[in-house]
Amino acid sequence: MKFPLFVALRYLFSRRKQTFISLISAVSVLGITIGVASLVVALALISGFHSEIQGKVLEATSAIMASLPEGGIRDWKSVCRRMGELPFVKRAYPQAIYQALAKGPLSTQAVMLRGISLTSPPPWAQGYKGEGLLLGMRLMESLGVFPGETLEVYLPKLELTPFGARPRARRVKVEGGFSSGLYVLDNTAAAFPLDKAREMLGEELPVNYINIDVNDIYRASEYAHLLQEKFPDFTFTPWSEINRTLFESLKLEKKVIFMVIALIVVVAALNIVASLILMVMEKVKDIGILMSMGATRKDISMVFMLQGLLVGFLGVVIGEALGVIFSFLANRFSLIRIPPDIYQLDHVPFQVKPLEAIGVGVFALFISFLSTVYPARKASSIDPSEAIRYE
Amino acid sequence: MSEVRLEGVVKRYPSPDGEIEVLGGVDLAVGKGEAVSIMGPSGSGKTTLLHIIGTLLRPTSGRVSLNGQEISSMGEGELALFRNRKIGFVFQFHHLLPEFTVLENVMMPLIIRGERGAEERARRVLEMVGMGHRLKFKPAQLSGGEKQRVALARALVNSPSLLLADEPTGNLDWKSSSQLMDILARLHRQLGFTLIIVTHNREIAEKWGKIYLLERGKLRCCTD
Repeated sequence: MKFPLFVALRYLFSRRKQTFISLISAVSVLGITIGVASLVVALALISGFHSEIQGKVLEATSAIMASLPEGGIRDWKSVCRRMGELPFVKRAYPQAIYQALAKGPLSTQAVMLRGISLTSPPPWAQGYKGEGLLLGMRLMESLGVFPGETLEVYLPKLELTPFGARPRARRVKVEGGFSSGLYVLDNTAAAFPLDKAREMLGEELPVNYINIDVNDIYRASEYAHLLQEKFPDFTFTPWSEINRTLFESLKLEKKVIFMVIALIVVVAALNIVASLILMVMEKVKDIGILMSMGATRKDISMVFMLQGLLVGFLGVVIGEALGVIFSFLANRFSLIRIPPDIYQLDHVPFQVKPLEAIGVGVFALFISFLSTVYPARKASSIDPSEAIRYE
Repeated sequence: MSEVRLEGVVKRYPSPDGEIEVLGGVDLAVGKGEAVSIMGPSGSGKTTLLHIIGTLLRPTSGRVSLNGQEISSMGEGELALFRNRKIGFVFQFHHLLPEFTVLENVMMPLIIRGERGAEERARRVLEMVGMGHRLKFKPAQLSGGEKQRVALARALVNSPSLLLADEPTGNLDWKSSSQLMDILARLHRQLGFTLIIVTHNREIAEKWGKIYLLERGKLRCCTD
């Protein structure tokens, strides 16, 4: 074993005359452990939420949405076919989205009418037969309707009546409900089959969006650019842009939480500084003796740097292990329960991302390293002749 | 060629009242394999002189050459390497590292050097000083005389050409002192290193060849 590591390990783990130094070292390890574990858990929590929300958003919408500036897409069948032929596109399917009002026994609500293709329905509308409206479960509850009952739907079109211009209203049967897990969709969506729009709503509601599912959702922005080149008349919006504010706020939250919890590691690192300075003071004579035996100033500096890094390393290993184990158990056994009607989830999701966990470890080790610089410089600047005479 | 040669070595220390001159132009020449002792009252600069010879301290002026090499031109790293390979120290207090066993303490100069076979050599030297039965002991478990013998083994483990002993018996009782001096004399004969020993004790000084007297910063030769 190399000299600096040999001495550093012994200094760190041997019983000390001054138990106070051992205590501070133990507190430093504990501090780094708590800081690292907290960081891993906090980042896993945000990542878990991010991933859940992202999953729900992608279920509810699609990776890329295409639209025309003028609204309706007349030749949507051919557009969907041509887009579907591109190698990175899994499928392209139409959707018509319009605002409307729905009046039920309990209330009148603003709804988003979503015309969908029964041959290529979105994930939340699987099994939909198209015999009536498919409502979000929350919307059904607030309107107070049940499957088989009828709703009054006011379309955003005016018709002339003997009493003047009034929004066009239709009574439409409710086929059933769906739950996507996405609040906005469950609370506002009322789906109808595109090819039955006239029959059901008395109005032709043209397709105004093409939803595009792709092979790799994380390359959606890149694919949107490729699509833009091939279909210059359309505007393509990737999923990350559709919910940009939501994802940006999650990212910001992650940064702020990281910075706040990172302070625990910084405080623990101050303990490393204190314990190393005390140790240098205790070991002045030993440093002189080691230098008389031929240890260089660099060797001495390394002894104390390694001690700090070993403290940091211990804290990182234990902290990472605790953080990862806790996150796994909390996720696996749904340890932290939350009201699903508020959060759309019954437990707090944790997802440890390996790169983030490694990043936390590297950060804690870097802070530990910084905390060793001053004590190590102090130790290496000791005059061996004075140190040997030091009483 | 002299093993140790000092010419006009001056050492001054800063103090609130100006500089204090501890060594005022010391000249010394010690031949290879020779043993000399330096005597002098407390505060006369004996330890300072020994530290200058041992390259732990640089003189304010003057020339120091060891083994034919002028040390004032050497950098810190070179000096450390030189100390590791050529010089052994024995101090008044054993200065063993309390966290390490007897064997590890003796191995330390070789560990610093990163040399293989350190344990074997350390064991051999410990046998030579009669401490082969205490390898796994910690310094706190040894008597004063034993500690000083381990310190001697540590100083000799790297086969130095120069051994510097600063009052090595200053903290020992008569019996332990005599034992240590006997071992040192035997090893000096066997290994042939150059020995400079600083002592207060006239009887001990007389065991070695020349006696130098350091007084008021000047080194006076000498009693054969």
